[in-house]
Amino acid sequence: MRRPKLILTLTLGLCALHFGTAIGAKANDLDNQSARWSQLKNHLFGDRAIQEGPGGVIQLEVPLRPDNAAAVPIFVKSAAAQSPERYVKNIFIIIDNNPDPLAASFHLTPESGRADLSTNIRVQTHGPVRAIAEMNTGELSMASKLVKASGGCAAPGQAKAIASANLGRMLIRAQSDSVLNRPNWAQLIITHPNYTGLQNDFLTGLPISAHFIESLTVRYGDSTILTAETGISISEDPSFRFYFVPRARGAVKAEVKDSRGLTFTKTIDVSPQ
Amino acid sequence: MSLNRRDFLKLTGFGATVVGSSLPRWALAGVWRSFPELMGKANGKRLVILGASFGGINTALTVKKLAPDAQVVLLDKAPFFISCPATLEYLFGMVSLDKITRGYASLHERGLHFVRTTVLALDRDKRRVVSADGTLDYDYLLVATGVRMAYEDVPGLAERPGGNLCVYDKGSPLIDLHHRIAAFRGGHVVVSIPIGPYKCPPGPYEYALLWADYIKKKGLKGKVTMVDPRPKPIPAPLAPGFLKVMEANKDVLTYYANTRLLRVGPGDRTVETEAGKLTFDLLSVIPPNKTMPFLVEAGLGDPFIEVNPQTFRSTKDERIYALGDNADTPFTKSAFCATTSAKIAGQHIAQVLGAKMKDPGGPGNICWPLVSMDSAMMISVNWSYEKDKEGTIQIKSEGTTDNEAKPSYLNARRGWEMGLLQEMFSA
Repeated sequence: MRRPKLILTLTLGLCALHFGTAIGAKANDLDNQSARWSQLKNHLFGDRAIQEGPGGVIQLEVPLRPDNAAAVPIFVKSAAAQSPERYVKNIFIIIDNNPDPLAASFHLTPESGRADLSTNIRVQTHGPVRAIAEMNTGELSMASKLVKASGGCAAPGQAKAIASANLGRMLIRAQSDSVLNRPNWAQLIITHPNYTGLQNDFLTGLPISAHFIESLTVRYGDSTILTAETGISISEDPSFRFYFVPRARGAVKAEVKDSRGLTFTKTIDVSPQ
Repeated sequence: MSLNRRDFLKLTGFGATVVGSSLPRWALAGVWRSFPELMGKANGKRLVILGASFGGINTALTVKKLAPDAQVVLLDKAPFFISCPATLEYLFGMVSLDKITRGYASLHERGLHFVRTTVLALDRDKRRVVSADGTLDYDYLLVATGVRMAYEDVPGLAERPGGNLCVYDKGSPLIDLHHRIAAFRGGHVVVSIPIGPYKCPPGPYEYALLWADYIKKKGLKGKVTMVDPRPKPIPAPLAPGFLKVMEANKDVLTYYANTRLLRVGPGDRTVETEAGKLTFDLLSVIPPNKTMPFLVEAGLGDPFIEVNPQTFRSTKDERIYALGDNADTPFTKSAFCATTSAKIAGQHIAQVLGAKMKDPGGPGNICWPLVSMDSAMMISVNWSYEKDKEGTIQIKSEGTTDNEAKPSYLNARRGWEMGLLQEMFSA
């Protein structure tokens, strides 16, 4: 999957102007089938069919009017369990009207147990947020919701000094009563400002250059349970919640790389019963 | 956009052939036609306000002042007014109930009408409100009802009536919770909040911290767990302050961020969350906040009423306005925001009724979130409307915050609230 770099450069200038909430937001941009979406869809998926609506593989929960546009909780869930024969291989989070619309691409395996993810995103202006699941068999399924928020990509984060002191500190939490051979949840929280390049330092007023998490890999023992490519549409200090199936005692190991080439790792032991 | 009842009726021709009405089907059957009229016919200058609290009363007073010949009628089902900003202080015994309640008599003395009733339906075509006690015609309508707590949206909650004590429930659950806290000798308190917008954003965090402080000050064997689908406490600028106090209270308070409550049960004492099963002795789940079904049926918006955030006029009906917790705006859902919005909407409505209007500016909000029983933080925001280069109106916000909790802010909060009550209820 190619990240839509082209779209990023085209829209950066435009979106930097959009700090407030437009009262007369163009109805077209809010539409599930906007011109923007057909452009994105064509770029990311070509002319492949995308199934939509109830009864689809994927469910999406995101607030209509989030209280913080820079940290909007998003929950994506697949109705079926992951099996080696049929599983959700990729989940794409797309925010139509963000400067970088492809917020994250998650890659799952049968060892993920459940295609059930949550994280926090930035929403720059009113528009649809989409989750698209790609099955191992190649089918695409989508769920979308309108989100009314603004300025999420440009909102100032915490003070730069605080952000750099804790850069890359990670916390992994796993289900305390974890069970062998069953899907167990785990949560990865990374202390990282995830600067978008559209923010200004609120003390000095100077622009802050982009510095964000580009990829993460989570392994349990020898098997990979989750990998992801992320961009500036992910919040500061993001959390990633996901599932995995422990087959024996082992360790959850996370490796995170950011846009400046820094790598952070963290390991925790899990002893499932 | 999904099909609502109104569109459906139009589509099937059912609404059009019966009365062309936005009333729900049961009302179309004519049940309300035998209802008495609560007042005579509207005289062209009648403003009916649903909800007599911060938004409703302040709009009523603003309209009456600017357009003295307007007839302003407030409807509310509450037997008396409770000042919701004082809820937490009342719960933990820091203020008595009679200090924060008021009767509605002073409204009559100021030339307003107050009718105690429950609104059942809205007939937009006839410009008529149908209430349990009778019908009332309007020329203009303001919806300032606040939100309802959608208990049915939390799996397992509706099956356990009385099993939940929500801090946002006005009336008897509030009094029950006050007594439960006073009688609390130990145990596990579980607090959870919805993913979507709810009223008074810092409220649940203050509630959890007050519990922690109360348990420690009283030397009780208790603990508090807060389950939050958000990554950090809100409002965002106060997150560092909240997290600092939470950290200092971690011996009794556990905060699960990015975690949803999945259902209440099984049994009477457990909840399932994304962080596992929790056993509780006292449960305070705040369910999703939504607008009332009769307003959804009337086609005004779902889950909140769609308005122009500059004039608070409905985007669906030019005779209807909405503000406060029930309106879909980028402003905070809080009593003070409803108050400042009411003064703006009041001017717009008075102008429609013939009064002259100055530029009313934008709404604002101020709040002193409690972090313990004797200190609070501070946040204030002001919104303004500005035209951008393309002529689109943008809403800008600016504000100040203080993440250092101070006792003086608690006094400031009380003074501020008494000022608001004075303004609304002094005859």
